[in-house]
Amino acid sequence: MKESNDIEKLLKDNLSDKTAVVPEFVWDRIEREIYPRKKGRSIFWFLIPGILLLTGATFGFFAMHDEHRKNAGSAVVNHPSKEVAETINEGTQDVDREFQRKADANLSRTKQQSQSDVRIKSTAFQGSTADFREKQQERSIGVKALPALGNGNILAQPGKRINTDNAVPPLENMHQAESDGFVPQEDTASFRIAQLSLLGVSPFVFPAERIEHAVNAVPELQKRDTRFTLSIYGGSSMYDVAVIKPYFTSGQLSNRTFTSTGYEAGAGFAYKAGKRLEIYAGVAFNEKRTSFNYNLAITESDFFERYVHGEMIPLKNINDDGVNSCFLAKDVAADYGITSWLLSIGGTYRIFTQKKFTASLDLRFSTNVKNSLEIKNFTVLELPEYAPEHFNRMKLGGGLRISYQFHRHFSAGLAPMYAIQLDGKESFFAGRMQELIIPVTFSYHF
Amino acid sequence: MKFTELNKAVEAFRSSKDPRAFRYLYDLLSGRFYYLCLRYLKNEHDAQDILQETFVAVYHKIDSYNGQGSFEGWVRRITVNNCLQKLRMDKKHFIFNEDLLAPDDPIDEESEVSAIEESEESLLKALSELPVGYRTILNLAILEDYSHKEIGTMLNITESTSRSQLSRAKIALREKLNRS
Repeated sequence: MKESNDIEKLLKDNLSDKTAVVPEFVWDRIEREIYPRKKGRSIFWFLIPGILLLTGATFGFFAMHDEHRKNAGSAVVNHPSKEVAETINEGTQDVDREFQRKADANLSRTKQQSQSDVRIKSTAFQGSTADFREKQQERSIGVKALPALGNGNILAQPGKRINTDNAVPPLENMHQAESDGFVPQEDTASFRIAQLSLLGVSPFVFPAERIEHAVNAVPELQKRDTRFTLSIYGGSSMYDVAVIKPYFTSGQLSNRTFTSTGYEAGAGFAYKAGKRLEIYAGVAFNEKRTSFNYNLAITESDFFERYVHGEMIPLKNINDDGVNSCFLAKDVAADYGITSWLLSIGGTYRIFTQKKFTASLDLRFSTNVKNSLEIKNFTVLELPEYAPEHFNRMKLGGGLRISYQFHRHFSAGLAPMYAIQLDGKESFFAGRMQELIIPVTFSYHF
Repeated sequence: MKFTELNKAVEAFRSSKDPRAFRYLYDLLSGRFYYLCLRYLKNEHDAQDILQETFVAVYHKIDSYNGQGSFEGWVRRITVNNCLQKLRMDKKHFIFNEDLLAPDDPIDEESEVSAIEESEESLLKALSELPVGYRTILNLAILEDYSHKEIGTMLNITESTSRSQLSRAKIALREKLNRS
């Protein structure tokens, strides 16, 4: 019996309540099983900025193309009669399709007629409003095709004819010449008029104010020379949470030092959607560096509250001699950097213009697409393995853009912005970080 | 480790299912239960597998822990059950070999004294070299303090078999220690 008890004592003394060092990979395996890695960020958040960028680029391409065409046309507009011709050009663009259809249908018939040097008689309609309306009904196709011109306000300027009788080539040849690019630009208006006459449509009906507007609009068109903007920006950022700052703000601190530096740089593409409104999309890179050095006292109760929020102090690093249930951690030091790539969409609304200075309100929505945390130095405290999804979150920012247009195509300025993270749940590292970014911007307008 | 630390960590995990609280529980308990697994399972790989299974089970079944009784005891029971399950799956049936120890082997006081002076390492080694049935019953009866009734239920043997096998296991262990 004694032997039996001795064996029991031997076992209990030596093998009971012992611990062994668990290899770190065991936890990794547990973690993988319990928390399967998230399948990356929802594609939804990539799609929004992506679609906007694509749309902006498409708009930009076609707008540039259109602008080019307009510039080519407006290059020959030097006097009112040519401006009218330009307006005709613009007006008849709408009926191109209708014209084409009818032209094709009438082509064979026209060919026969045009074999013997077809001359197309075109006459500006000059008469009373009643006559015009009657005429309009007769040629409903033409009127429908030219809705802007059919309001009954007839240009009544006797004697001012737009002569289209000169050197109008046969239609067949015109088509060929145009497709070959040999039709002089100044002949385009005459050609359009000829085309409309050929269809039996009276094209020369212009409301006076319409023409006047067209004439006046020419300089305006020349002024409205920028719709798109490419921008780059960069500048320092300040932030409040500094990742694990709440841990350091509670408890009694001494020997405290804290430094933080950060910057953000990016590029964006903007489209002028209204007189004052611009929408934009962009990509940015943001980096923050933080350095702490503290002595920290924290209550036992706070310790676990903090623990739930992810901060740990290994027990071996804590003095627990006090009678007041406080832990004391000495010489806590932390030095780390966070980098993020962001996609942003936003809009600016111009609120003030003075000479070459412009001020705009700026609203921006950003989402992190890639993050990394690099711990340079960490003593006393201990951080669990970093999980990148802790930084995958959205930011909403608002700010003011002040820019100076120092060239027709270039401007520079400041764009301070205050941003706050939208994620409602306080995450392990970042909490709900607030950030103030003060970047310098350079923009190219086209 | 302070009792309150474990309790607060358990409460934090139960209430929030926060991964960090769970990690803290793991940090507090894993070393102890890993050692327990090593006592039952002989090799490290199996012990690591069972430790993993245990903590995964703790994570998923935390709601079934009603807060009454020791949390550590609850985890211990899960660990032991997992170890026994592992032994069963490895087809190591708890066959108690009564011939392991010759009945006329002399046991004197001097050898007993030398056994008592055994180090933890050699004791663990000797335990691991015992047949699985003896090792298991020593663990359950002496180190886990299960009753023979409980052991009978766990190993599907009678209480009297449990008692007799425990006696034989002790003798076998002592013999191992004397021979080493």
